Amino acid sequence: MLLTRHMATALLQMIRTPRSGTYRLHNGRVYVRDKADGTYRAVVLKDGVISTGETL
Amino acid sequence: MTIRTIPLRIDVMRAILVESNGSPYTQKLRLVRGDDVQLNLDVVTVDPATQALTPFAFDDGTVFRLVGKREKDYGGPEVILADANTWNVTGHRTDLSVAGGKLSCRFRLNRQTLLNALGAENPSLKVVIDIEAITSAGEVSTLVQLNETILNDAARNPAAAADAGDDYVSLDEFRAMLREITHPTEGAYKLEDGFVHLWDVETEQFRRVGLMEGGLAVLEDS
Repeated sequence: MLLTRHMATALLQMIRTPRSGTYRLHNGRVYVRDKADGTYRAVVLKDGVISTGETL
Repeated sequence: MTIRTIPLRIDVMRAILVESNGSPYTQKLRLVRGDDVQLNLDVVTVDPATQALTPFAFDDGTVFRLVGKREKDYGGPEVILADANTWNVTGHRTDLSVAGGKLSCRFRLNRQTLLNALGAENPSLKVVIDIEAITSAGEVSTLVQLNETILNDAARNPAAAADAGDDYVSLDEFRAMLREITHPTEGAYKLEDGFVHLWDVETEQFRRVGLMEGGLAVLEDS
């Protein structure tokens, strides 16, 4: 079984940006969608405490 | 990027393409040119008495694929031309409705690379393209087979699409592409062992995170 590059790229893109839109993987960071305004914010871990960082 | 949309109507009982009046479809398709193509498929049943068309409903769990094969060698090698993830993508078709038999499929095909993938030495080898449905129970059925009486001359002319650019990735290359997502270079996360690990910028180590009492938190045993 072979996979075209076109399809491989589309498959991986679905992992990075799933249709559900709950998260995005971008530039090595995890972004989660804020249900309030729909923006994506980076999840940041600092000394064991999770917070959100810049928007995508 | 130009995407050529081709509307097709499938009579699911006879496994043939039909016109809007239920009669067999006789035109040839400009299908294999190495460019991006979107098939808009209406799957129907045709009343044998009145020729009225009724949409065919698929279950939610049904997935679809497009498969290239050698003609008359249906137990031989096959190549997935459009896997489930390129089917029925929101936004590709405004009236998309799997439950209403209205499907879409976007793909690009290079006949020469298809022939290579099928192990063909003869460039004039005839190929067929099956449109398949797979139920959640794993039952595979061919909705229709696009053969060389339907595909136009371009489908039989490898030179027409030889330089059109689609290529195939090896398993090793695909693994590397996938790893760049699960373990991005200099990334602040990694996906491993079923957990999300985040990079702690203070302690400079990855730590497993998960939900704890409704909030995201570092898991104790990480």
